Amino acid sequence: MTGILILEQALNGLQFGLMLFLLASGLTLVFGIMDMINLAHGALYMVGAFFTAWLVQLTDSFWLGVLLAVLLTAVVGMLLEATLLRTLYARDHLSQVLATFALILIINESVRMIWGSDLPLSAPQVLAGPVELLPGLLYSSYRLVIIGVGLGIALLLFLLVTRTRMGAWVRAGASNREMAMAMGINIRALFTGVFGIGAALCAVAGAMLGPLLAVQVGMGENILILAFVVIVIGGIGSVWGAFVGAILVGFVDTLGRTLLPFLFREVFSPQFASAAGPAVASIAVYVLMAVVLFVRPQGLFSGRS
Amino acid sequence: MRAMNPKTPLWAWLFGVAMAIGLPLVLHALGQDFYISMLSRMLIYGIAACSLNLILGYGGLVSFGHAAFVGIGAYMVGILITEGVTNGWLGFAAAMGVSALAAAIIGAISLRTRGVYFIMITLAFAQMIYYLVNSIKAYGGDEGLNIKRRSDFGFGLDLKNDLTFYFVVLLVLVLTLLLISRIMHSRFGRVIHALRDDDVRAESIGFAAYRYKWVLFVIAGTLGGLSGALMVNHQNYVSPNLMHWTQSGILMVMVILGGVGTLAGGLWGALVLLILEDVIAEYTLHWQFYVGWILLAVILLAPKGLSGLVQKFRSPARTKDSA
Amino acid sequence: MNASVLLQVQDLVKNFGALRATDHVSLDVLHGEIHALIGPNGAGKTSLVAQLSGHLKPDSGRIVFDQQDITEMNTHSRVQHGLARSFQITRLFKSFSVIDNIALSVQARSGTSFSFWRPVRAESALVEEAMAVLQELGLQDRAHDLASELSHGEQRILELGLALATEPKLLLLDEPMAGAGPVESERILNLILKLRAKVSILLIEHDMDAVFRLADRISVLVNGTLIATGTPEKIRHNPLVIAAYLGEEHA
Repeated sequence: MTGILILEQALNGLQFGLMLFLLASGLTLVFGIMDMINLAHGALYMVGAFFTAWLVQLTDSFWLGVLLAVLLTAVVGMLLEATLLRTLYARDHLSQVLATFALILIINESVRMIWGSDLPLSAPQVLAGPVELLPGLLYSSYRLVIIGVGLGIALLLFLLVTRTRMGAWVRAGASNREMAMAMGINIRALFTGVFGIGAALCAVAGAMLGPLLAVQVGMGENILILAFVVIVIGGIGSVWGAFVGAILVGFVDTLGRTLLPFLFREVFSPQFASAAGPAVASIAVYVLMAVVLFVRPQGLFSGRS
Repeated sequence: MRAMNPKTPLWAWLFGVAMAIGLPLVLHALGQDFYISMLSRMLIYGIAACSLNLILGYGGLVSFGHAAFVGIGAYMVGILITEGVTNGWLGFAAAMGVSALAAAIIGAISLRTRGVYFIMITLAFAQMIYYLVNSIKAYGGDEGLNIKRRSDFGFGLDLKNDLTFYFVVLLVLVLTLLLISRIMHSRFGRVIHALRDDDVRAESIGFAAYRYKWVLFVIAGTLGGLSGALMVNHQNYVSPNLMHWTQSGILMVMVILGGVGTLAGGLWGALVLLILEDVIAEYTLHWQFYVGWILLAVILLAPKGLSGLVQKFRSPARTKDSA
Repeated sequence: MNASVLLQVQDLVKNFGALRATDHVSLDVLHGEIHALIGPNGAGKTSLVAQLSGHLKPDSGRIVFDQQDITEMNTHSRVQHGLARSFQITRLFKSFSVIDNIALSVQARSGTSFSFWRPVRAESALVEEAMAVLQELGLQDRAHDLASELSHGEQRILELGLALATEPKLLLLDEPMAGAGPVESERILNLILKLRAKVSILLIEHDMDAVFRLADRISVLVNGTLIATGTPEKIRHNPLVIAAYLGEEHA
């Protein structure tokens, strides 16, 4: 277990965490402002990945494909919100859970019907090779780009939420919806807009992670749970909480998978280590969530008043 | 004393009993044992859905991790059989015991939270168990565990026989429904109903809400484990997928479809969903697409599930107690 | 401590951020008395009652009930010890019938409810006791109607009944007549009068006529602070009270 390996895994953790943040931020805003549990958020991530794979093939350009896919997914998201999801805001959480669960089934199969169970997507050629960050540390240039994109979008999001008028509305709505409505903010348009942005963020994550994790039906289900863990840790309604939570989860999950089995092998017998190590690593994130919930039940940075 | 829940009409019960006993016998006579096996599967899911209905329907607790208990029950029996312990009584007792323990721990922690946090934490626990089991290579890991024999209960019962297995499952189902009915009509059941109406008020007249919910959660988890024990026997196989959160979602769908908070709602929901699945799958690979739309329609248009719809078509009888 | 004191509130403080809802409040309730708590809207009356019933945790101070420190005790335990509360906004078990609502309170104090097999309908004792309470409330004719079908005034009576059926030593009544019409209000008032000497009562009420008819003592809460406690006559002539509260009412 060299320092190089740890650094590399740390970078992977950062990269994964940033992508998780893209998913979690949309989720936490929808949850915080509209008080809606949206299980289909992961499906939008998948749709974004599929659109990307398809459009990259069509246009023969990675970045153009990504851009178009993001726009298309945002449109799909806004249409979904305006037609179906809007009716769920007033319903109880159980109905929201089940309706969006049904939506997952529909969207998954729709994608399968249109494109099949998976589509190939590779990183752009120019980024195929590694970059030498430090002597001995070769890191995938594509992953570096992901980190860059993630940080850039995070910055944009923060500027949007803290500096713009829309951001102020969003923060007002997140902490007190009735008050926001009383102040004359056009809630409907705001909600649709927030949802559209959330969908776009999902699409970016899907597009970026597609070449790494494989674009396939069902890819949304597993990452969705992690996104929920992130917002529970970070605090529902808080974008900053989603950021901190996502980076934390990214690190714990990625580093955990490398470090924990190693630590176990150092401390315990080889049989125990080879059985328990990976097992504990896989649940590390959930243990983290349980600990946070125990110490601070509303999450680290609760956005709610 | 009311003999049965007035929400499920008498004709449905009679029809159900006739079908439950008559249909497999007819199928057997026709040599269609494969369909008997399908019926067994539906009833097993029915038991699982009824166990979830205890906490979801009656208790109003949206637990997204119920499939974990089903999986635990299945794995307990599966592991024991793999290790050579085929005694059904031992296996099923272990399945229920371990699921009860898991429910006790998960419930103790989760029930301290409310609303969406409760949903999230039950979901997280289920995923924890899913990943844990996934990483245990000794019992199949992500490939799952095949078992070569079925549980042995003695009395000359050969569970490999489809018809015999079916009637064992039916017996368990009937006992489960009987148990749930007695529980919900007891003092304990009254408190649970009260908690669902207004748990703050229930505390304010002296009921320790948390304790009642916890006991309910443990009972539900135990029954879930029981259904898992049956399931691994039926499929001769169990994999971590049985515990994935989407499986919990499917169980919730069954409860909603059948009617939240009615005695056999989970059973009807399981039947409807699985029959729909099999029928639609005959025509298209994309049956989940159509099931998704149907489910969406039910949620949006008939929030009380199919039982609610049936009630609407009959006389608008209100829920009244009988003196 | 005086043996006739049933409830003693010592120096209770509760802050909501910058807002001090309960500002070093000390008061007591004697055995058998009807003690009214009045004050303008927003004075902190409901917050105080919530702290007494255990629904809200005070930041500091003590609550001693029947010679026992109950400050750390949770709500359901307080009820078991004889401290029951009714709510300003009606909270009934809507899907239960009227008699079953009361039967729940009776069930809570009679034996364990971790009983899973015996049908509760077979317990005639519960029904009889519940019926007796309904007779006292005057709701016996509505026994088998759903609680949600009662008129608002009748629901207020049932609300009171739920707390009463727990056989408390002290009843905390939060505006029992809120929203009830004149007929029901009179019924509730007479009900409370009938309870005098059998149950001690701490009563929040806005209706001044009712307060002066019912109360043995009155405490006045303004902006979280207790500004006066005394007999109705004393309170009526207390200049502080007149200035802060009654003066506005009778201006």
